Amino acid sequence: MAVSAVPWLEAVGLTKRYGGVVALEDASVTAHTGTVHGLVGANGAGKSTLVKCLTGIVRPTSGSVRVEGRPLQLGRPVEALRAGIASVPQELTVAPTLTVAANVMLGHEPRRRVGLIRRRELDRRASVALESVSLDVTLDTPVGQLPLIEQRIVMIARALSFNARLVIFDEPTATLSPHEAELLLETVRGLAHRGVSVLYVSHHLREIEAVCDTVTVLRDGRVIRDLERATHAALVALLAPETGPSASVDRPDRVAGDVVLELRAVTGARLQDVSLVVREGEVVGLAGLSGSGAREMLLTVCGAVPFISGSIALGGRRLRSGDTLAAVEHGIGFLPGDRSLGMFPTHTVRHNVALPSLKRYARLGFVDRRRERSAVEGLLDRVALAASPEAPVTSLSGGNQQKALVARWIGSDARLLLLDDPTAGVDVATRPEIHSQIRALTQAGVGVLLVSTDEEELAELSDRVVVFERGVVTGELTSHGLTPARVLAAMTGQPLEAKHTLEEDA
Amino acid sequence: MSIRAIAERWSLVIAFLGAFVFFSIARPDTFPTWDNARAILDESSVLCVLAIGVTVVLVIGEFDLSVGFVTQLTAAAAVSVMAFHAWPAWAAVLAALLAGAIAGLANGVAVAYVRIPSFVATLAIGSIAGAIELAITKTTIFEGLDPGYLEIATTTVYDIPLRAIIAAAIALTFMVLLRMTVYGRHAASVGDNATAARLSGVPVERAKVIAFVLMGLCAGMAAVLVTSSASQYYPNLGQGYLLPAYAAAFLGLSLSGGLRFNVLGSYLGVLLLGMVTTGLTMMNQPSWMAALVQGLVLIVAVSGIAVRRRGALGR
Repeated sequence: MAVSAVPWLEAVGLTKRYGGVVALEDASVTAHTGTVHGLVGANGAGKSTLVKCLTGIVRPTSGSVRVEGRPLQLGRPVEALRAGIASVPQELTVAPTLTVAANVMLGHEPRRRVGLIRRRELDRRASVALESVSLDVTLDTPVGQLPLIEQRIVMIARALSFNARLVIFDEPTATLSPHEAELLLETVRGLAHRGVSVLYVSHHLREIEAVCDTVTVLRDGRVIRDLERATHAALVALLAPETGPSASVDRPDRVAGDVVLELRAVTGARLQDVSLVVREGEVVGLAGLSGSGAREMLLTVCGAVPFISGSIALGGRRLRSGDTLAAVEHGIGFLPGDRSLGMFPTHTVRHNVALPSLKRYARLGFVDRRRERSAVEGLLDRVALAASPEAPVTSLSGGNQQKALVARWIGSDARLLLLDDPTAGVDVATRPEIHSQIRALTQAGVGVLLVSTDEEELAELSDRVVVFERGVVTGELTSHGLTPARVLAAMTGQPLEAKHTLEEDA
Repeated sequence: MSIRAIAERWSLVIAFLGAFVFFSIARPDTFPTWDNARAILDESSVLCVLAIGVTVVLVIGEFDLSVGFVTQLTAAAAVSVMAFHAWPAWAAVLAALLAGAIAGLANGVAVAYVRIPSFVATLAIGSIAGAIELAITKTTIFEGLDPGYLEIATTTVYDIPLRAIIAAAIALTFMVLLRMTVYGRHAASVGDNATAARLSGVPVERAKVIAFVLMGLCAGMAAVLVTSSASQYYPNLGQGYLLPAYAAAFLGLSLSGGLRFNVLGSYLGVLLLGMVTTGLTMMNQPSWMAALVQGLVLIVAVSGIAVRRRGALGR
């Protein structure tokens, strides 16, 4: 990959202050045509702010950006787009009932003079964009009917349809399974191959290693290092100096406790005949691609999705299908992978953390705010979140919001925690802290059902891993066979090996 | 905080004081007097109580468009038990509250359990409530109400009208309810993110039903305040309350930084609207002027909030 001498984009000395808070300090970054440039750093290191400065959503306090040598007008999203800078946001932002073509061309549909849409031209431009991401779908399919990964790729096609020369990805694989993530990385490589430059923001250092030609490392709003061909180990060393490789932590052998959760032959819209037991103090990992039933299991157990037949019992008490309230009342805590299912955005950190355990701080229906506040402060300490309980939760960065949600369930009376990607968007340094909090909970007797798109996390935390494929349990890995590689293999559709392991351990 | 941020944060209070100063200068002999303040407090009491009920419904993220109809129905209930059955005044008040609670329950069940969007459900229930009202009263005017009942509007305590005291007491009660109780926190959570609330163990449906019942109780109380002061019942007396009640609640939004509906804000919002109406009347402006100015004030206040919300999202 020949790197041209003049970078396509050159940002120099970008600084952004919010009042007294410095979000970004004198950050410079360059992006060359046809290369993938990584952007890494802890939560709150300034990655998102930097990206927003480039896309014009945020006007930097000082600094400049040049595109092909010409200065870019800052703080104007339209100018950034016109210059060829497009971004694919972390959240899924498609209009599910509109067609693929309409989604790709959303907001800049080719029009006739009277304002009518030129259908054929729209289809033509959409298919050009879809071709450049190698997505083979019918143009008039409603986007909501596509698998998640294809919806994401439609979003990339939309970014490209603006004639983008630089595409910015912010944590694009956050909710994807390993196999899907690999597809997405291939799409990213394909973009670079076509001469587009890519700015790739992620906590997944393996992805960074796999896909990025150059990497910029941020810490506390400053650029601390620019690397070429960064390895995973080098990045870990820069981002989490104290933490060594922790994948091979020995699990203390626990005596299996009483049964917390028992599923018998549960069948639902996307689950078939699933039987499963979780004991006190046990972490049961659920592995599988998206749509395999692993995530659907969590939703079914907490009552967000109904089941048709079979039974679910929590501590011996049967749960009715779709009764979330009873499930939570009887001790189920659900940490959703999608933060929008868990957050109260107009409220304080205190409110967000305390809600499920509010009754404990209340007398005769009145909340004792002092007790609540000190309890919340203690919980924030435990997840190493240095924020005031009275701060609005939206003032926290994405990873810190995740920590607050973890704190919510640490502080509750839950006997069974359903964790869906508990460290999604959380930086390398904080991950072990959240993991150790989860372990501390299990030592106190809490049972955990864990879904993760990260095989290392599954291998690290789980006592055993149950493998799902198309709604059916296809195998189980017990503690002896739990390595990230094996989890990954089982997840990505090698059920025979998984079953083999099951026999081996039995 | 910059001056601009402070101005935005306290825009309602600034508008409130600004209106007071403006009318005091324009009509120095009549506006800044105790008599006038008392009159505004007294006349605003009905709208205060309704705006407080509306606030609770807005806090849980729903709408209640049946406010005017339910006020009429409960007025009919109170007056007819006195006229047809010679019930005493206190029983008439209870009848109004009970009728309001039942209407609220119907709204709540339709929204929370039958899952009809509140816009539609409350329009339908409102229409039914209006029909029942007219069936009871046969569209006649009732006069010669129980003297004890009329005393609600004529009694003063330390020269403060009882109606204003009732409105303030209700405001205080609801303020405590929303800010300091488990129910208040549940209601705010439901309004912010119903899914997340459910997953946190909040009884979402029950919280919604309670909010609509509270709204109904407020409508019942408002009906008592209207009829006791008018010393009569007349058909469609609830017309014209819906919009200003919501206007006040939206004005009050700015008091929380544009994030949450709150009782204090709604209360001040009502008083601001009352002050503007009275002041303009004193300046001999035609009656449509008050509606025009109220509309403009609302647009300015709410657009400020919209700008700020956009800023919050952009960060």
